[in-house]
Amino acid sequence: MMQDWEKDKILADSIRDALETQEEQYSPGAWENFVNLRKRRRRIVYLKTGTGIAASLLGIWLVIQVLVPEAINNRIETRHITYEKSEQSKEWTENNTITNEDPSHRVHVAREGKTSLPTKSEQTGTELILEEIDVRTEEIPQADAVESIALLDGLPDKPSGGADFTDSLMIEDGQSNPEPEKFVRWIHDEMETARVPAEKLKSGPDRVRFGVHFSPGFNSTSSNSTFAFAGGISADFRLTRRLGLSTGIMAAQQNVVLQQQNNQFMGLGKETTASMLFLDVPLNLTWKFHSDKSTSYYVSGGISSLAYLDEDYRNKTTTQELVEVVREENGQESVEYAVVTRETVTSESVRSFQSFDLAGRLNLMVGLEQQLAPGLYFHVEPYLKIPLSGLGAQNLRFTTSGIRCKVSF
Amino acid sequence: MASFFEEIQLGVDNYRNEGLREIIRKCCRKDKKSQEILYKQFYGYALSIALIYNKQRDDAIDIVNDSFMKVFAEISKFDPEKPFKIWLRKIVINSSIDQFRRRKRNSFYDESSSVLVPDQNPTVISSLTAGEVLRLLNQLPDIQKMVFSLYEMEGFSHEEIGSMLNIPVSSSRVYLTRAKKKLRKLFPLYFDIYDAGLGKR
Repeated sequence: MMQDWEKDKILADSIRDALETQEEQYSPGAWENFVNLRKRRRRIVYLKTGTGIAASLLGIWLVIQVLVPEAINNRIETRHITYEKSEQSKEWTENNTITNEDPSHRVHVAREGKTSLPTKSEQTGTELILEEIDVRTEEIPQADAVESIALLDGLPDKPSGGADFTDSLMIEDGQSNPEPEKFVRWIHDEMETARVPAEKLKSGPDRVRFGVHFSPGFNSTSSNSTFAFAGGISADFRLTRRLGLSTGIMAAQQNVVLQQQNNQFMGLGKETTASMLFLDVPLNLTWKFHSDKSTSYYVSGGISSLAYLDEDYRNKTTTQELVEVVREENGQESVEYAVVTRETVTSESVRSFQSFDLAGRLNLMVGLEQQLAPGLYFHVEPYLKIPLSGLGAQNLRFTTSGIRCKVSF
Repeated sequence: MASFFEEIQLGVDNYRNEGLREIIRKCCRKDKKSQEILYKQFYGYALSIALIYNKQRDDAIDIVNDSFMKVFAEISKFDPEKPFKIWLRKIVINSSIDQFRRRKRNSFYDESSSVLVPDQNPTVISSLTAGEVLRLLNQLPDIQKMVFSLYEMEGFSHEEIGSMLNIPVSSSRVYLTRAKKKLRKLFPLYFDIYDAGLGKR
């Protein structure tokens, strides 16, 4: 009687022998399936990478919004408010509400009014200024005054343009002075000069807007339509208030199926299936034809240049042929002719950056821009890309249409 | 002439095959045609390995595809001094283990649910084909089949199997013992014949 371990050994040996000498056969179509699977996975990787980049950009933008521009914004806002309310300070000056105050203090008060507003931006300028004055008229330590001057970089100690500041002090002395408005005008001028750089600063980020976009769509040929998608980054440059220039880079995965007549002798048909991955670099002019507070509508047009990263073509040609069929009946040979349909499939792969189409497509687009938050915009852009020449290594002509969803900042 | 498996066993350098050397060199340059040739040449071999570790043929094909993706991605790191088949075999086995770990994480395995169905025509073991052996192995629960294959086919120790499958070493021993016990039950006729001296391998 055999022991269990002996049986196990024999069993293991026989299993090993049986499996190790065995080799499966190649299944037809396995390579094609593998190629498709690899493409699908690549697409997923691209999508994940795109999403990651978009998330990173969004994160960086949020960090910048939260941390960096706080001080600049405060400064800009302060100056604006001060300027807007200076009309009322004029009224205040004319009413001689300030009395018996050291002139240097008063200058500081007025200036302090400009720099101390950001935390109270919801209050009216008059209230704020008067509030400041109340504080100052009670007792203003010299140190505070000096500090407030320090906050006003760029403002001269003395009004420019010949406006003598000491003139305004005469109001305090109770002298009839016809020039209290000079002080106010000087304040205006100063505010105006302060406002210009503020506007410049404010308008800075709008001159260039960066965006991340994703575009599902369809490729249409004369015979077929297939799904396509693309995604990328964009940069929009503002040329004038309504006119802009857009560029960027977009990775597009396009599948094209084209069925054509086979013009060969006894040809039936020809079908080309292409799978292409390419970079699309557009250059578009954008005209905003309608804008309101947070929404803009625009049209855009331009050209795209293409650089191909991967091109796979599968050409199936169907032809008919006459073949001889030899038959033997009762010892006699007879030859018959039969028509057979033959399908020939050829595959072609083109390496990266072997094909380029400079100005290969015409871009047409209409768009809607919606402000989501300050500095953050969402765009919906139905588009049409028309080929200006044959595209890719096999010069295919296909039109791409779809909707581009973009977030810009 | 030695078969591919014998070449592996004997450590014969596949590089005596100049064609394969050229194909691998082109694969390093991402040449698609060469990748296709390599895939088609070794698909059957990879599938036969994957089938040992996967019950479903579709799963095995997925493993083969995964393995070839790794092969094409890492082929520049392939040591030309070693036979290509051994390298491919390692990749297929590692892919199978990864797949097994993923399945283990995602599904609850009930060992008692596996049913032992004796082979309909066990005859003698010498006439068993690879397909029949695979069918018999597929009667084992996944974990037992995996441990049995890694231990008996690949020669891994229980410590190595434990670390690969994230199970204790003692569990690996237990699974192997159970697997062998179940397999013994699947060959009653053979052992009867063998014991009676009627069957001879």
